Amino acid sequence: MTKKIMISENAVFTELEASNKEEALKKMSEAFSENGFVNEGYYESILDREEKAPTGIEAYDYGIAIPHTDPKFVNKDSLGIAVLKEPVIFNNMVNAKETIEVKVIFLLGLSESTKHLNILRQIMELIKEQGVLKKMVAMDQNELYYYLQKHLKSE
Amino acid sequence: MKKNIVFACSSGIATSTVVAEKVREHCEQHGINVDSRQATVGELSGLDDSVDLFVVTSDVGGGYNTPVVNALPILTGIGEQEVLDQIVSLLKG
Repeated sequence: MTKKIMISENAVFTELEASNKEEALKKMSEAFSENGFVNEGYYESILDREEKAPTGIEAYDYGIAIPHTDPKFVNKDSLGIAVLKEPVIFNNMVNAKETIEVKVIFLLGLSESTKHLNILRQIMELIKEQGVLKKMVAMDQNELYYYLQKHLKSE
Repeated sequence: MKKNIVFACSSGIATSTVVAEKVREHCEQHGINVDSRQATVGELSGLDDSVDLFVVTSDVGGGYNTPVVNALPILTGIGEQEVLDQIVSLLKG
């Protein structure tokens, strides 16, 4: 039996309004902490990690970001996603001096590093297909939630 | 042919593992046996000159003697084949 990844329904955002990455990540982190999925310090550590090791990636059609942090800030595995109304700026994963306009954020709240790896692999497999991000960006919240439930497994 | 590759990313576990699987498979199809290890970006300078290639998914800066390949296309799919071919030709050359 394959287990479904825990996607936090309240952490699936469409048309999220944020003027910068801090604001976007704050709203997403708050959705996690409302559920008790993450500890105090999760948001700060996400920002800190993003500063040291940025996660912006230029993918087909849109820029994306895959922020994640130390498992010690996480109580319960979860994945959040935000499609932003207007893109926000992240730095490029392989060239930190470059910036990327990010339209879709996949926020990882995973309690073991091996799970990070597994979910990361699946997200990458998913968005590698040309047109998938375009499709996701056009979905409403409900469609996006079920689309991810269908395509991502926890192990 | 046997070659040594270090795969590096900021954590040394996440994106580098995803990339390592793909590269190893592609190299084997081209008759290259890959001996690999993973590292964090900070460990790279200490590994310079000890292997045939660095394959990276984080900003590692410059100034290495060992050739460095940016493997982000393997994650995004954009230009993936070109990067895989580049790796093979660097290892064979």
